[in-house]
Amino acid sequence: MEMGAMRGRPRKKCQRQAFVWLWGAIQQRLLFHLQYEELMCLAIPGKIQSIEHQYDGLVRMAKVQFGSIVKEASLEMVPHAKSGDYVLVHVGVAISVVDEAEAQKTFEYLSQIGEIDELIEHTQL
Amino acid sequence: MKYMTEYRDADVVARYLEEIKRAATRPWTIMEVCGGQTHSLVKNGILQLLPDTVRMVHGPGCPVCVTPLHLIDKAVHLALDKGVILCSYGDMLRVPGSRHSLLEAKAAGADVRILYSPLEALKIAREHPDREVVFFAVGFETTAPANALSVLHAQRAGATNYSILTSHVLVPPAIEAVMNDPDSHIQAFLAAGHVCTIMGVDEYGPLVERYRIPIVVTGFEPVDLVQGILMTVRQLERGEHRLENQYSRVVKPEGNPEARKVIEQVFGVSDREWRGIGNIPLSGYELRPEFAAYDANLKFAIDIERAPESDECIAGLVLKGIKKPHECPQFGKKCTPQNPLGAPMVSSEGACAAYYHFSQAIDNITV
Repeated sequence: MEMGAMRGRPRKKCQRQAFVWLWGAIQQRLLFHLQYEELMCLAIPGKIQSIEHQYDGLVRMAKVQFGSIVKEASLEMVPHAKSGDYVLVHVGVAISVVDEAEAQKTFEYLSQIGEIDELIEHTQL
Repeated sequence: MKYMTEYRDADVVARYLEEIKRAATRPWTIMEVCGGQTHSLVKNGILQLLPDTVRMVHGPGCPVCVTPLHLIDKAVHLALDKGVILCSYGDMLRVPGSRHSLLEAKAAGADVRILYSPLEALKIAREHPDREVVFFAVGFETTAPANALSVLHAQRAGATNYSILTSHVLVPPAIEAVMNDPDSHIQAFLAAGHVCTIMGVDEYGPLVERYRIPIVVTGFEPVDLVQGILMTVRQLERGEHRLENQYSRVVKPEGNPEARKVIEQVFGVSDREWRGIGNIPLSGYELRPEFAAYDANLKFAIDIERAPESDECIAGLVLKGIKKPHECPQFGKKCTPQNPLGAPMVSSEGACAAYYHFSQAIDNITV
């Protein structure tokens, strides 16, 4: 007797196949993310959740949250980083604290260059 | 702010692209040095969205791609013949050596482990004091502090069974090598943001002056890249050559002083062989003599023959930005990520892999 029938809920073959396909697709997606977002030799920003000391209190280590993933990172290269800061982590080491004021500039650049261009045009006139 | 989603906003990217279209009145060729930037450009479809006047050329900033064949053979030799626990970043595993790749060595019974950080390799060394643990330390300046820290921690913890096989390369000499190549036609560079996070921007000023080219330190998210490209195009159109920093939320002009200190303490600058490019003077890091005990090369007195490179792979031309990946006759045919002929098809920062994985993007790219 088939497993589905034993549970009293017969499952059609195509349903099972769809499930297997979907699960496969989810796994592929997860693997893709692991490869491209997590393991890549890139640095990504995460939020410091908590800080503790290791190696007999000599090394500051942090739990850093990247979306729904939490990873451990050394804070030795960013001695002023504190809980709640966003740090850029590369291969297990935080290499920079992200500067919020500077971060805003990217979104103001376009309107700024618009003003600069206008100013240049006016001076040329 | 979360410093990620905001920089992936399609509307902001579209506004930047519109401005680039307006600004670029003549054709320009710009090289993004870092392979991470190449992947972001291809993956996010930015290459197709750029106007025909802006041609992006992909640079040599893929550490796995420029690691010499000889060094991969050494790693395989250590794993297979010396019985060490060979730890490496995942990217390195499928790169073909002359005998085997590390993945094939693992399949043949060698203890090869994929790690995210050299600090994890040291942890393994401390858990297995009876085994030798070697970390395959490849990378640009960004990765150097982590590798240096692993050596300093090992020294502090008295872990004598830990060593690193170094293949560290530097960005500024690579830019020089690209510019000195007679076939090069690069007019400006997007410098690698994370390398500058460590080293600062001072090294690039002399390059801007010597070659009279704009260099813009740029981040990796779509908005970062289009802003970096716009800043570059504006300089080119005005006939200027300056050093600018698009990625100021992360890159300080002086870099990261703590990181530079540990690099200085552990590594010295040395000549380096770049796969596909050749020897570049003073273009890499080597462990300083006082850390010789942690140098896998010296510790295991590795002496193996130098194997010749595959003559079918045009990785060198791709890395120097002279050829695009899909201009290789083997691209997607004899060379795929599953069966690569060369490293750029394997690495998550390799240009060939970027073109292969997001291949539907290629058809529309003007070359």
